[in-house]
Amino acid sequence: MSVRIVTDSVADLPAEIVQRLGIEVVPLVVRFGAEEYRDGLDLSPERFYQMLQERQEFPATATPSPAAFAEAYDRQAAAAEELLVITVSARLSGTFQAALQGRNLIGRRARVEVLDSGTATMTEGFVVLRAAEAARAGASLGEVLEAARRAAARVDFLCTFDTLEYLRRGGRIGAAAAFLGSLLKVNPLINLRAGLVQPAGRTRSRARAVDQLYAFAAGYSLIEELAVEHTACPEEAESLIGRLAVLHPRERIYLSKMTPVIGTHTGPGLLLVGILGDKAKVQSAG
Amino acid sequence: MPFSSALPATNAHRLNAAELRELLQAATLRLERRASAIDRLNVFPVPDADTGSNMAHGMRCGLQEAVRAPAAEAAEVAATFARGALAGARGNSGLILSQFWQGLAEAVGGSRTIGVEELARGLASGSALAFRAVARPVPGTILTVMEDVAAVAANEPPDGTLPGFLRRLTEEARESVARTPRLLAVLRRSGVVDAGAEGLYRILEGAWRYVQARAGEPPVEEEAEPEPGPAPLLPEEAAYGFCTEFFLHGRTPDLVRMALQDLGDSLIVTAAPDAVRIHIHTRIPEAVLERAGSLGRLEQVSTRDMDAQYRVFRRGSGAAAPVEAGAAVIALIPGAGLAAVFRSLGAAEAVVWGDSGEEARLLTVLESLPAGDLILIPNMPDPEAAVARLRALTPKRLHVVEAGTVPRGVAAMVAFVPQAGLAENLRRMKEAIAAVRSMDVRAEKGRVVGLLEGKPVAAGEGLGEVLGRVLRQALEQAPAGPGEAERVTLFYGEEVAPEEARELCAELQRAHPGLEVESLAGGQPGRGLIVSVE
Repeated sequence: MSVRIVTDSVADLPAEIVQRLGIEVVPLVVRFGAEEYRDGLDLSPERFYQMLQERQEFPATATPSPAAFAEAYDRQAAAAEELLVITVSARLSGTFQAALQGRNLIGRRARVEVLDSGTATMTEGFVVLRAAEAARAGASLGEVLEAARRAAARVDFLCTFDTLEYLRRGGRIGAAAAFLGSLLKVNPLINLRAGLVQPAGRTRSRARAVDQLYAFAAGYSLIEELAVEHTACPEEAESLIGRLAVLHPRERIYLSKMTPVIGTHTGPGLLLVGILGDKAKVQSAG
Repeated sequence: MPFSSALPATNAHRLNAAELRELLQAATLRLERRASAIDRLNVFPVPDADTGSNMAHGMRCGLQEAVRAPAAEAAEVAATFARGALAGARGNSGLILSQFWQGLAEAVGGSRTIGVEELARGLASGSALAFRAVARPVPGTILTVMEDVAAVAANEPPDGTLPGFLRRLTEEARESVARTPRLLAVLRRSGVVDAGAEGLYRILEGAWRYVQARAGEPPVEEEAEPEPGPAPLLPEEAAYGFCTEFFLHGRTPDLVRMALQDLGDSLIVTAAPDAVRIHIHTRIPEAVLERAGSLGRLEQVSTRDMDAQYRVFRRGSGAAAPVEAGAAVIALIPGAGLAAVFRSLGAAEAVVWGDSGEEARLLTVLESLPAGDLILIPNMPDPEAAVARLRALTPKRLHVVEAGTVPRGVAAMVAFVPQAGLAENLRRMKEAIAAVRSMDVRAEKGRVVGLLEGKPVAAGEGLGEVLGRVLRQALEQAPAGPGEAERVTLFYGEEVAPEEARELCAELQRAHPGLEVESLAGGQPGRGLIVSVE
């Protein structure tokens, strides 16, 4: 019996892939004042970014409860005895802990492994994708875990923000706090290192920041998967894809609006390039 | 000093907002410089070799917050610093230190300037709050030094001078640190003093050296760098468990402390905005999270396997991985207003070149920087003499980024990312310089001349008129890098009023709706504008 894959909504996987590969997505929670929404289920990105503009208060996020994970495990365990759970970086979210705790609440008999992807956004999605493909091909839990680990070591992203205010408010800013406080308007570039937010570059104009996103992709010797994600800046995302098409077939580039739980921590104006692949020798974005 | 001029006058007795910020910077730099040595001392409560780096991280976060929110009153600086230090607090001593700043800031609330009396009150309040945060205070740690220093401060005459006051506090701190092995057996056995205590001593020392230099007194003799002593003696195997940290919503610190205290050691519970922050060393993090989870919603849960960390520490034969001290940036600038711009972008310091007071300040900064490598941005043509002078002043390795103009220097500073490493930073900074155009518009002898890349290209009557013409020329030329010009920045000189600068901005914006225009006080002498196009 094959292995089933469970992940969280930060992986931002397109619904079509989730359905095709039978992946179970446990939603994080987005809060606006007293209202609670399950990420991606009760709150679409469109509605969320509209609310972000209209509402006075800042949204907040919360991890799924261990019980929500347990329910997902039970559902999947009806069809498989072995599950692999892949979560957003444990250093950015308590989701990994909740997934672990969920194992204690499980009703059915199943073997559940939990893996910290060390990343977020579609690059977490790429790790899930490779694991799900391996599972579909009949790999054992150990092999699926290995495929996920290998992918996790080969994903990276670079993104540019309009403002770091949301990241600061949400307590996720980490070492990129060094970019706060500039008296000049600057465009910060951010990535994740060891699962934490890191400053990766800074420019004086959005156009040059987008140039750096392109250069980040161009620094790869092999691109297996490529995603462009954005929060409420679709035209910029489209035009970046136009440029990236010389590096990777346009029809294979994933384009998505960030899921609300990520948007909560980034605010509007985020543009991200995420890659699964191998870098050329020394090229690095930070 | 020019950038303190808008604030209340100060003397050897009191510090204004800008000076308090500088004092905190000096203290942070002093601590950062010693951070890796302090990491190596770290044996209690867990020898995970991060006390110095954790404390320095919190101080750095405090400093960033204090710079980010410019304040007119010293009390506001203390409050913003404390807020940042709390947000950036990690580890045992780091959290205790954040509470200390919190208490200090509360006690000095409302003061425009700060002197001996306020500081003494602040130290007492800071020490008290730090004690309250710790579930079981242990003698022979940073808490003991706080208490000792606060006691000495309370007995000082309130009208004394700051250098004298801080000297006595620093001396008391040094002695109190030396006493820690007598109070705590694990220190005695390992042959070290307490790491957190040492950190606090270095912070006070940095503050003292700063007020000493500001009062124009001769710089304090630098003590000989202590030989790195034998590595602390550490047990072979240890079971320290997991360092578990998280936020809990909806409960008071006291209740949480009571609920969790039997589940582990080194429990520290502090009040953060809208939540309570918990730090605990435990064998079973799941049990802590379960009990805490029954009290309220948890956030930002982090658990760290200290035993694994300890094994790595031991493998390195007691020497912790050195704290990454990347290169620090020093900028030489033509006007004091630009110092804030450079500092806000992460420069260690920016000094007005040719000012002897500034040179003295630069010396204090140079000696307190942890980095062996310095990146120097001289924002002027022909910097050879200045570079030679600096080389004579410091034994550090100097890497010069030849900016030539302020716009290029600012562009280089923007490109600087502390994490990127020296070679990569130098590459990025040079690249950024190539992508900016520099203009200079100034009134001289009754007329206004406009220069583009140092060459006169326009002349006329008014600043606005000439600026418009020079900018048009700059835009007509092929862009220096890929893409269209996007942003114009005006750094206005001493004799240009902020309203006039704003009006010039608005004018440019009307003429070029596609550009983003901003203006900042550069403070350079004369009636003129330094303008960048990027």
